[in-house]
Amino acid sequence: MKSRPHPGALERLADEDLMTLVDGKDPDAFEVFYDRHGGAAYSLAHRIVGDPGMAEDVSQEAFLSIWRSKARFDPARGSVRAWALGIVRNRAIDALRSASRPAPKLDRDDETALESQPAGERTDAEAIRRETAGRLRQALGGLPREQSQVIELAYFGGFSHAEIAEMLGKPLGTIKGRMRLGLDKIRATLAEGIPGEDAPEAYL
Amino acid sequence: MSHDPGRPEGHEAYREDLAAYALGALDDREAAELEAHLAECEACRIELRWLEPAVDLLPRSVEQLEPPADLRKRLMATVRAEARDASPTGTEAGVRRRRAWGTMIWRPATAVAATGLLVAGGVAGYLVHQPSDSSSVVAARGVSSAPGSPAGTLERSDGSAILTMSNLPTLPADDAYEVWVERDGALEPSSLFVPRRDRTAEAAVPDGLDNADAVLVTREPRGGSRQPTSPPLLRADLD
Repeated sequence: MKSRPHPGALERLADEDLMTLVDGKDPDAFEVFYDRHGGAAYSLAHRIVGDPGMAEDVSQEAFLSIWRSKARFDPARGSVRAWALGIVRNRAIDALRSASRPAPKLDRDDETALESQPAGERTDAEAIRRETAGRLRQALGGLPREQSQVIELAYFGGFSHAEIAEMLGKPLGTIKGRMRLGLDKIRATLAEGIPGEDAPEAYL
Repeated sequence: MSHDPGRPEGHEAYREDLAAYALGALDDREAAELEAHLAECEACRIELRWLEPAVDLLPRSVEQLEPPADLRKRLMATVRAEARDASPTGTEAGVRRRRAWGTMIWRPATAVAATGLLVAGGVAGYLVHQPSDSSSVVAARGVSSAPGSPAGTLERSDGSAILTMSNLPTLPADDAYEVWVERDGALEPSSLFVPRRDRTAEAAVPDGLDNADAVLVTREPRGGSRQPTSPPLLRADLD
């Protein structure tokens, strides 16, 4: 095995630098990348497809596409994490579409995580990930239901705005307006800062 | 095509689609039309950039689960096998030569750029050699060695290296620092990085540094440049 400059050097690299090594086909760097984002990726896939086995397949495909450089990270377009989770989201929606799609449940608040194990808290990173998720859910929970509903159907359900309009029996313009109001409200919460998060300089 | 006379409300109509676009809720045709508009409309680009962090937050709000241990095992087995296959000689250098940057050869253009850079380097940046010991740490220095000036070290191991830097000038949001590897007077782009708030940074230099003459750092637009557009802040000679 090759040696590293010192132990833990990879772990201390910023995501962007880690991605440069991953692009260079460094399996050790990829392992650190997976350990950093695999949990969030699997959790997202599970939230979308609602099935542990399918979530595992989706996560594996997404990470392999990153490893094989089918998807390239562009630092101008935001953080590595947002980019990677965007890839997972799109894969999960594709998987949902190619499976026979169940009728959408409009109220999904209580149907997450029935079978999979909740994330452990063996490490600080895991504890922070869970705590941040909880706080974010709280912030999202503060949205009027009609706004969070259209956002969830679009992002987690993979429905187009036209499909959502039809599903809810509302004009398209109303749906667009609700999406916009909801995102604006989340954005305002973000600008105030999420406790436990780095001040989001890049957001301001 | 910034204004379609047949659709006088064009900009406003696109603007109303931005949230749906950010949420991935436009169909392919609508998304393509909006992207064409975005390419021409800075106001819409700015609004989209404002909305995107709200969407980025959604995936992180979901209940956090423990991924199955099998997933990691299978994934890493595939990845390690593919890394070995990509390198028939089994050497790290063989792997590294295949990396994406390695396919982008800008020798003719960069030869010119490098000439300019070396001249600029004489004014704006010079190098301080530290005697290399067995751990192979080289100092990277800039214009001045006065306290508070950019400084750093380049730590090599095998083919790759890590650049550790401090006192880097804070960057506007649209800029990043870019690392370059100088070889035979030509510069190959390496990694991009942004310093932390305390103005320190670590950057990977994943390329093989065999036969490299120096590692340089310049300030570039956020997406990176194919050749340097500013004089080097830091330079570490490898001889």
